[in-house]
Amino acid sequence: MPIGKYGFGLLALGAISALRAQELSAQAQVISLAASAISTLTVTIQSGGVQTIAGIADNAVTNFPSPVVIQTAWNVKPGQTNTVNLVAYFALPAQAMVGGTTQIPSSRVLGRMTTGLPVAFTAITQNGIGGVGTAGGSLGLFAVNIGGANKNANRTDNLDLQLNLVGFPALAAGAYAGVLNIRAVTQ
Amino acid sequence: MVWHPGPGAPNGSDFIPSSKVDGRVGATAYAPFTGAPVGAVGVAGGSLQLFSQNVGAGSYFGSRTDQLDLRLDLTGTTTMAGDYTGTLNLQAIVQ
Repeated sequence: MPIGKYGFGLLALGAISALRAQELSAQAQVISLAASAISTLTVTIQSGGVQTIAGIADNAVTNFPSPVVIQTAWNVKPGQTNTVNLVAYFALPAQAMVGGTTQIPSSRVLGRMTTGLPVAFTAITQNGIGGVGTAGGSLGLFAVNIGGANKNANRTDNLDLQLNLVGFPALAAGAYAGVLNIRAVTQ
Repeated sequence: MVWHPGPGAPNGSDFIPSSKVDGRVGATAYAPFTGAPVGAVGVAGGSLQLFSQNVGAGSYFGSRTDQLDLRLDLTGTTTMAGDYTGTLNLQAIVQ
């Protein structure tokens, strides 16, 4: 085969290569992005937010009519949160329920959460937890340790309430009302 | 050409994928970073082409300034609490 034939072929390929645009890329520049998702903690009373006993019996134990259904939801950072606590408390333990002339103290109001800490009826006389609650007028309802598996979770619990007037002086006829606060706190 | 290396903005074991990060140049509509590379620049499913400009005799030499707007679209997403960081790369390429 003549050498000139090969030479023509190589020249033709070279011309095609020269006409083709060369791919060229610039140095990459970097944009740093940062965002924070805040922690959330909510408590919702799903039912039982109003509890009424039609007739109080002196020197007796009376249950409030229905459980308080409480949903607690959280989305927290495990590195910053060890536990989620739910606390019930009265603002004034000596006056948990106020009547005309007589007050019923928190020691006479009992709570029970069978899925939580006070599985039996317990007087609301504990101290606050993590800055939530009042001294002698609180009740820890549950404490959940937080880890990677439950950092974003919710739970629903029933809080049963009871009035224990055994040994308590007879109440004057009338209406007695009180407010029980439910609050969650992370620690 | 903008692209996201990896799965997005990492926070420990939690990530925001590039599909939840949108970008736009000028008044165009926001689009997620889910495109293909252009040439050898970018990553599959994590890129967004910002502009493409033909080069001719009148524009062999040139420059342009563009504004890239960024946003997170977390609609329908539950994001774990925490801090998220990421790196967005910009690179130009001629073909």
